[in-house]
Amino acid sequence: MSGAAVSVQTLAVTLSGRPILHEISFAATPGEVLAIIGSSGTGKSTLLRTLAGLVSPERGGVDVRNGDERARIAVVFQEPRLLPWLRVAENVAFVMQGPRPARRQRAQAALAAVRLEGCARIWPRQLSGGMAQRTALARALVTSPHLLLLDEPFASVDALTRMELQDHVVELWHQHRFTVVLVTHDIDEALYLADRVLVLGGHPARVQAELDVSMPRPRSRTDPRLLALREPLLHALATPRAVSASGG
Amino acid sequence: MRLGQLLWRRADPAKARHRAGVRVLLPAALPLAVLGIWWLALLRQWVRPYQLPAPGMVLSAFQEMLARGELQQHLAATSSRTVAGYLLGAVPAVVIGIGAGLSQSVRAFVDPTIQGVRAVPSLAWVPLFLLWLGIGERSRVLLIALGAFLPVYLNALAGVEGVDRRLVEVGRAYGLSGAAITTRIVLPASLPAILTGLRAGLSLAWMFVVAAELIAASNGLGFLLVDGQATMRPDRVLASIVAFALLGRISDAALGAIERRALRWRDSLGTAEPPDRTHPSPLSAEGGVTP
Repeated sequence: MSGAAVSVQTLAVTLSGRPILHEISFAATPGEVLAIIGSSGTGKSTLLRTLAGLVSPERGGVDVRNGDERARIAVVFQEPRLLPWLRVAENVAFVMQGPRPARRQRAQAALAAVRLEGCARIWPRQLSGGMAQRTALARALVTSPHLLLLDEPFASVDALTRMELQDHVVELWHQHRFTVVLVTHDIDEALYLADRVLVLGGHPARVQAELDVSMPRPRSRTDPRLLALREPLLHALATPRAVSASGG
Repeated sequence: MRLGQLLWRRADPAKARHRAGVRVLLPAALPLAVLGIWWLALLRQWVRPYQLPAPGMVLSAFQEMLARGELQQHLAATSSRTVAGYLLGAVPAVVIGIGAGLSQSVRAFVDPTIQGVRAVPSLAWVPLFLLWLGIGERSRVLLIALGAFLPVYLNALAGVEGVDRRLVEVGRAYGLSGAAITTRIVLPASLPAILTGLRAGLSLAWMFVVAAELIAASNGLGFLLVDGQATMRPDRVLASIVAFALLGRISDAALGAIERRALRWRDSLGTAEPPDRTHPSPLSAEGGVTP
């Protein structure tokens, strides 16, 4: 599996007559992990939903390509959004096409990849929050995506589970090398996972700052070089202006 | 698990055994009390036997009608027209309700008219049906269909309208077609409401078959009621009422069983089983990974 190249050009989005995003331009190279941070209500999720094709831009465009083809995109939302009437494995197989035995086999493999192989036959209501979110991750992986969109996917789980899930994403990224666009309000999560962090701010939102996190993985959450990057990021969030820094 | 259990649950095995006994006896208590008062009223001559026959007489009227094959014939007539009317009302109601829930245009086209029809008490249509279709099977079936249609339509519409938009978004995000989103997300998500409507429609169908048979019929349990009244046979009237109760209960229990089977995924007070009972241990199954 390879990653998609993402190109966003002068994107403007208006929802219910209210401009949300203004002149947003950025690009992600294949296999890059890009984090978008900003305070609540900035329009981070709207940007991600536009990339997912769930929101139509007013101006500008989004291009997600895998070589010459259109790329496969998978989304993990803030809530697991599992279909309660399907068992866990069926929820994962739900987004696939093709003959049932093949789908079942791939769903099992995807569940094993998120360490939920024993939960294939149970109902979503029997899962804990972290397990449900891992199922959502398996559902995204099963489509072999070129671009993985993560919309604050670990915001609703406890701190320990969040760290575990973050490590899991890193592990899966190492295996598949898909491109990731992660929306989060958690600076540490952005720094731990991303190659580059975009700071979104203002009304309507623009890209206010950009930060390179060129550090090898696996990273340590207590790495002083990583912690040193919190400062410029916090600064950019508080007083929006162009920042360009790099770690490592 | 019932709400009361959730609110006042106590872990006491002795009390649990006591509760099990109460659970068995409690449902029988009220019917037994009614039977007792019934006997007492006859014994003390508060009522006359021609007004209210003894329970034994009702039972023997029931047995007599069964032995002669009379009851079976009336049961068959009532059941077949109820089923016909119910299907005629409920099937289009599900289709139109879902259509109106999915499409604003369909809704704008049908909903105001249906709401208008809803404002008229359904029995008010009886004279018109009799005028148009005559005293016959068609007018009876149509009346039952009308009675069943409304609750099924309203629930199907509310069910589709109430579908969690976030689930629909999952389908869109993963590139499912509109038809696939409808059949694989919208319909299953609105199934609980549709089944509720189907059960409500069924009980109204039973209500309307009585009305239809009281007004114009030469067979059926409703006819048996009128006939019992005309021939001063309250035992036959009561036997018909018991037969109606049995039919209604059996058909509702059948739909209820289908509903429980179809909605066993739900985590509600009526259907939920504790996870430890439905699945031995989802946590140990994944090798002790922190959930």
